[in-house]
Amino acid sequence: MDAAQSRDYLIEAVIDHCLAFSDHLEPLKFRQYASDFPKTLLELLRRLSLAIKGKLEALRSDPDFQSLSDEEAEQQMLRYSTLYSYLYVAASFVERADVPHTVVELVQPLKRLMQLQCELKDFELLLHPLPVINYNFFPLGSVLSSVNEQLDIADSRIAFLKQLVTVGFPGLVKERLLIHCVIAHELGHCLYVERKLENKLLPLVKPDEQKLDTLVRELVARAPTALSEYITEVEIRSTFTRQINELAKLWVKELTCDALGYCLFGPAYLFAALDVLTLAYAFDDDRGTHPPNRMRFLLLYEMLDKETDFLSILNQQVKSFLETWRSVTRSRPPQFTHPVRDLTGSAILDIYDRIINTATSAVGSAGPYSASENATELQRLVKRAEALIPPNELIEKGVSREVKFQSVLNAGWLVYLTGLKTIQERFDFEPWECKAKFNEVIARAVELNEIQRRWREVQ
Amino acid sequence: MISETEFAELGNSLSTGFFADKVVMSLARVQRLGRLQDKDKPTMKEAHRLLGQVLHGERWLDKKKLDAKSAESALAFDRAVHALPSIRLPKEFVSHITHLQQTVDILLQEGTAPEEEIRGLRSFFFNYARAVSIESQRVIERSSEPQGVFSWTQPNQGTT
Repeated sequence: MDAAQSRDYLIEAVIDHCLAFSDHLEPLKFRQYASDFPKTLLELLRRLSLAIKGKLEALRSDPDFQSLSDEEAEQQMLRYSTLYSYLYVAASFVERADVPHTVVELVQPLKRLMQLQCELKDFELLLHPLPVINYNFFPLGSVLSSVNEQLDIADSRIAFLKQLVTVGFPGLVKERLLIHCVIAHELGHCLYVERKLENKLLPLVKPDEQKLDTLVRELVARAPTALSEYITEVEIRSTFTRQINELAKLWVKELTCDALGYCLFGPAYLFAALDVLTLAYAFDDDRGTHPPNRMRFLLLYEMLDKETDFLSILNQQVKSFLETWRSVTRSRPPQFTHPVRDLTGSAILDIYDRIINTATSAVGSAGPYSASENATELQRLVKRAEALIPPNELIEKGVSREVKFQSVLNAGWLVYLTGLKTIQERFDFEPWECKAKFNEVIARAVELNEIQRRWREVQ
Repeated sequence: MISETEFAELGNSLSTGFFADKVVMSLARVQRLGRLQDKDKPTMKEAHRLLGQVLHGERWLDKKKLDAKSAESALAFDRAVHALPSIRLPKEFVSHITHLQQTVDILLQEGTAPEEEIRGLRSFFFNYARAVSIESQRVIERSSEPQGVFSWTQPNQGTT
């Protein structure tokens, strides 16, 4: 088999990927989604796939491609093949964002929050379940745009919204709408990118230069040992440089997204974070892409403690819940298991005030949600929720007024943390039944709140 | 399942990989036609910028200032180190990258450069593209590991 023929085979195999991908997309168009956007995205992915097919067909007779070495040509084809793995994952986000799989009640309110309050008018969301008990965020639109740019595809109809994001939630607990308040952190990721907060915050992180110098000197001094057979001095320097830069970038981002999450949803975000994060990660685990929980909760408690009016309306059970985690969080300073994490983490702890201030001014002209300003409203909503009346509105002088979307969630948490005992006794429910009914009431409240807002807007 | 960070890594490595492949194609065209084509000038300017990022990353330990650019440079530096496994000392590394950057300069200014220099540049970007491919491959392979008990049910496929 000659080289030209083997290239043809490689091209043909990738074209088969294109066709299989288009076939895969077709039935997804007929599903029901929480908005029209997923169908638009499927169409864009289909067009992108066809454009790639056209490019590959043109390569067959491209003299430059034919002049590449076998290794070079093979690498280029492997890249296209990897791209299809990537597009397949992107399509799977859409596949799982259909009505039966998603928390459909949340999609429109979250879009509204980001488009109107945070002024990201092109914001689009794919909310999809994950097979793990955790949440994630991915800026799908901006990555697809940058890949599209590198592919030099001339079709102007293939343009991905840069504010298109995917948010994954734990599929196993889909019905527990209140814990999905963690999504506020994921929305924070979108604001972090759009407001270019990295440019503002990262330069403020100043690791101890002396410790850093000593560490690098020690590492480089080890290079001429037996280890140098495997690791070069330049590799030590590059690994260290990449590690500290990546870690600072990731941890500052994650902590700022926590602060943004709090600004968007108020204490409901902290309640949900305490519920989810304490089960997802060990309290002092510093080995992942996220800072340890202790660092995260130190920041969030700093924000909560500014809400004095809100703290004053809390009942004993909620106070006790918050106090327990507060004392765990503050029982000792964060500790790190690796010198790079120690240098980075300690430097980030010094800029918490700046992180909070930056997040507060990044959520849009309306400012952050304040539980203190809404404390009276929350007390009244709690009474409704305890009677299993959806806490989506307040009746004032016989007229209904929809409350803020975030107030629904905060009121829900205040009842939930009280243990639902009052409801259980009042309605003579079994404990599991009471939780199920309560989750249903909160879901309905979010849905009705959105319907009321839309109705008012069209009046 | 591909995690959020891994999926982001994959997106970044794909985009950078396609770019590095494009540089290889542009240089193949220079070698075939004897001159840098106008349509390839933006790619070569971008290649020049990437080599600058590599050098910036290499110097990071001298200044130790964190910012959005330093994170990108650190990544470019690390990838370039993997693209040049035979280079062991920082001085040698800097001199090699600086030389490659000068070759791009000459190509952009004069439209051509000595054959051997173009070959060296093409080989670097091929290895850079390969280093990036290995990153992508790692993510894809990890994601194909078994996922446990959760399987996605298709709507309208309920049991009777």
